Amino acid sequence: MAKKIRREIHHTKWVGAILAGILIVVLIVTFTSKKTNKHNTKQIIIGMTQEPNTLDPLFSEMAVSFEGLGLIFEDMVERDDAWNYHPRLVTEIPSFENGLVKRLPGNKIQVTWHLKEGLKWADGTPITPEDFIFTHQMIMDDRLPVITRDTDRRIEKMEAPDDHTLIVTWKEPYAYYILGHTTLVPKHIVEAEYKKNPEKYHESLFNKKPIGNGPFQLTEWASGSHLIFERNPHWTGPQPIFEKVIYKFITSTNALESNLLSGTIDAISPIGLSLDQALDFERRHGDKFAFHYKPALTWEHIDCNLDDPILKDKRVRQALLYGANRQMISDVLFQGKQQVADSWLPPKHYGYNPKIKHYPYDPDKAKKLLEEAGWVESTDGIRVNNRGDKLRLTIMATAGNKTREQTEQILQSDWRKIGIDLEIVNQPGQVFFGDTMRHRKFKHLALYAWMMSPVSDGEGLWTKESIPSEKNNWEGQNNPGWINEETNKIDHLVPVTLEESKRKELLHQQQVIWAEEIPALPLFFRSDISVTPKNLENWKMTGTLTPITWNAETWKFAN
Amino acid sequence: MLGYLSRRLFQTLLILFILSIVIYYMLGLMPGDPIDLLIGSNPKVTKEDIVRLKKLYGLDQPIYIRYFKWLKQVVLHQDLGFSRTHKKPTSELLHGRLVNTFKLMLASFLLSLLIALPIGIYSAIHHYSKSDFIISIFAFIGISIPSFWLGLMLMALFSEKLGWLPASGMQTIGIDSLSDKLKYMILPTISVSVQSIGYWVRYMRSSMLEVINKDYIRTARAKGLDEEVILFKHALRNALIPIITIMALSLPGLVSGATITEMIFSWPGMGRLLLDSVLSTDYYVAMIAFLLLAILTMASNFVADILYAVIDPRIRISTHA
Repeated sequence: MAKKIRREIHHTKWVGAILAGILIVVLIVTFTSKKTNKHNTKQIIIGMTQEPNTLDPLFSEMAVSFEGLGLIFEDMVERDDAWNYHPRLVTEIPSFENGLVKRLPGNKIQVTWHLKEGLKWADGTPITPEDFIFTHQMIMDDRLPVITRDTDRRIEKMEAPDDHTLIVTWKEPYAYYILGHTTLVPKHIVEAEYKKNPEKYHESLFNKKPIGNGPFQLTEWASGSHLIFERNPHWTGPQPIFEKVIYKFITSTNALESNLLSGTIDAISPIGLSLDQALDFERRHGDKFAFHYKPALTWEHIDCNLDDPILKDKRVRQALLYGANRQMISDVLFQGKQQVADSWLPPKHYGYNPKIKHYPYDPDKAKKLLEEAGWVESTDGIRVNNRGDKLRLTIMATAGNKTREQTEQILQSDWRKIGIDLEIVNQPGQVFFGDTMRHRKFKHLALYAWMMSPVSDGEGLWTKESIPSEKNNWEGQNNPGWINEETNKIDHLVPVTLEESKRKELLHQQQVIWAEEIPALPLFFRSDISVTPKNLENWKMTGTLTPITWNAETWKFAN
Repeated sequence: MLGYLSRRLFQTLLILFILSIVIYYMLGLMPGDPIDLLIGSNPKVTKEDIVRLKKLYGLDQPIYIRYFKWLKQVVLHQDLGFSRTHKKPTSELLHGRLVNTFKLMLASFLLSLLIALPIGIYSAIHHYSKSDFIISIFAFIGISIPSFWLGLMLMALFSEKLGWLPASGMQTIGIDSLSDKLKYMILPTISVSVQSIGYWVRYMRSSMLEVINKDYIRTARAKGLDEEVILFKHALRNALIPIITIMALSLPGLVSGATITEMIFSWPGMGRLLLDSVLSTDYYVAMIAFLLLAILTMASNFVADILYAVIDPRIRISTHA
C-alpha cells in the first residue's frame, strides 16, 4: 500500500513538474518582453486586413495597393476629399480657358502640361517629361501584363519639347484628360531591367522596392507582416509631420479590433472593418476612438435579367422597387449610415440628376403594378398569371456575405407581402463572379456592387455593345442586357464630350430614362469606414479610389 | 535498407506525379480563371485587354498543354513559377511561409506531446480514479472546442482585457528578440494545440490501458520488477506504437488545419497561403502548396514506419519486395 502511494505521489510529481515548467516558460516570456504599445507621436501604425501584392504603379489593381502608392507616388493632378482637383506635379490644370487644351484637325485634341521646377524622384534624380513618355510606352507594350489601357489607348503621341513640358495628342476628344497621367515610373531606374527582358519585367524587384516621388518612401516590406514608409528627403512639398507611416497586415477583423484596443496599432484603415462590424465596434468602444463614415461610390444593386419574360415587363421591375423597404433595411442593418440609392450615380457625382423618378416604399402601388402586368392574387398568397404560372423569382449573391444575406432575407419578406415568392440561391464569390455573372447565367436577379468613380459615365455599363455574350468574348458589364437606343447614344457621347456642362446634361437625360426603366434595382451606396485615435488630425477619407493617404504629409496628433 | 528506401522514393515520385495531374486538372475546373475574376472587379477592362492578358498568362491554351509546360518548367528548370497574386517567385514565397508554419507546427507538436503523453499515461495508470475522471472531462472539452473560437477567446482575454500578450502577428515591428517572438507564438500555439492535446490524451490513455492489462505486464509484476521499469520499459514502448501512427498522420493536418488559426492571428503561414492561392486562382502557388502537403503526408508516414522499427524490435524493415 505504502509503495502504491509513493508511486502515485511520484507520478503526480512528474506530471505536475512538466505542466509547471510549461507555465513558467509562458509566464517568463509574457512578462519579460518589453511593453511596446507606448504611444509614439512621430509615427502612426495603421492596421489593414489585406496586403498589397505590388507597389509598382504599372501593375497595381487593388485598392489596398493604392493606399501605399498614395504615400510614395504623387500624381499630376490630385482629387481631394471634396472631389476638387488640384495641380500637384504641374503648375496648372490644362483647359480651353488657359489655352493648354487645343482642338486639332481630325477631331483630335492636344493637351499641354507644365511640370513644376525642382521635382525629384526619391533617389534625387530629376523628374522629366521623358518619364511620362517612357511609362506610356511601357503601358502600351503587349509583353507587359498591364491590366487595363483604357486611357493610354486613346493617346496618339506624347512629346517633350523641353525638360518641363509634356504635350499629349489624343486620337479623339477625351473628357477625362483632366485626371492627368496617373501611372508614372522612373525611367532611369526601370529602363535597363525592362529592356533586358520585357516579358519578365513584371517579376522585377521594382514590385516590392519601388522608387517614387511622393512625401514618403518605402523602407521596409516584411511580407505577411508590415510595410514601413519614411520621409522622402527629396520631396519638394510640405514636410510630412510624421516621420514614419507603418501599415500592419492583420487578416482577421477580430484581431484588428484587439490590436487597436491593446494599443499595438493606432488606427484602422478604410480597408479593414465592414460597416456592420464598425457599428458593432462603435457600440462597444465608441468613447475611446473616432469613427469615420464617408458615403462612397460602391453601388449596391440588384441586376434584373431582362431576357427573362417576367422581368422583361418594366411594371414588374418597378413593383419590385416599390415593394422593397430600402430605408428600413438601411436603418436596421446599417443604422441609416448606408445611403439609399435612386440612380446608378451617387448624389455627389457631377452628373447626378435629383429630379429622376423615385421609388419610396409603397406596397399598394407595387400590388397595383403587378395587377396591371397580369399577376393576380391567388389563394396561397403567391400571384399567378393567366396561364397559372406562379410569380417566383430567384436572387443570387455571394455566399458568406452577411449583410447581403440579411438584405436578401428582408427582401424575401417584403416581396412575399406583395405576392412574390423569392428563392435565395447564393454561390461562393469565385463561382458567382467568375462564372455566373461573367456568362450572364443568373436566372432572374443578382445582388452585388459596382465601384463607381467621380467620372463614371455608363458607357461600359448600359450600352448594348456592353452586353456580355459569347460573340463579344463576354466583354462588358451590362449584365441585365438592357437595350435602349436613346441612352445608348448618350452613353457613347459622354466620354467624348469635353465640356462638363454638356456631359452633365447628357447624364441627366440618361438617368431620367434609366429610372423609368430600372434595368437594375438600386439599393445603397456603401460607406467607407475607418477608426482613428480621437486626436488624429487631417485624416480625410475621400469615398473614392483616391486613397486615405492622399494628404498623409499633413496627418498629425493634436497635443 | 537501400532497396527499401529506393522503393519508397519511387512510390513517392509516382504518387506525386499522379497527384500533380489531378490537382492541376481540378484547379483548371474551378469556375473563372484569374482574368475572368479580374473583369468582374474592373469595369474598364476591354475585350482587347482580356485577349492580351489571357495570352500572356497562357490561359488561352488547353489545360493539358499548360500542365506539361508547368511540369517542364518545374522538373527541367527547377522554376516553380511566379505568383500572379503575390508578385513574387513561388519558391521565395513558399520558403518564408513554410518556415513560419513549421515554427508554429513544431511548437504546437512539442506542447501537445509534452502535455498529452504524461497526462494520458497518468490517466491510464489511475484509471477510473477522480483524477482520471477530471482529466477525461478536460480532454473532451479540448476536443470539442473549435480552435478558431478558442483563438478569439484567448485574444479577448490575454490581449484586450489583460494586455499581456500581442493579439496577432509574429513580432513587434522594430524589435528582433527571441523573447518577443516567443511571446507572439503563445496564443496561436495554444489555439492549435488544445484539440490535439485532448485527442492524444485519450489515445494515450486507451493504448496504455490496453497494454498494462496484458499478461506480460502481469508476469513482470509477478517477477517483482520495479514499477517504473514495468511502465516505462515494457508498457510504454508497446503503447506508443499506435500513438506514433496517430501523431505522424496528424502532422499534415496541423499544417492545413492551422489555416483558420493563421487567419485569426495573422500568422503568415502555409495554411493561409494555400487558402488565398486557391481563392485567387494563383495556380503556381496552389500546385506547389498542395504537393508539399502530399510530400509531408508521405514523409510523416515514412518516419512512422521507421519509428515502429526503433520502438518495437519485433518489427523489422523488410529489404525484400
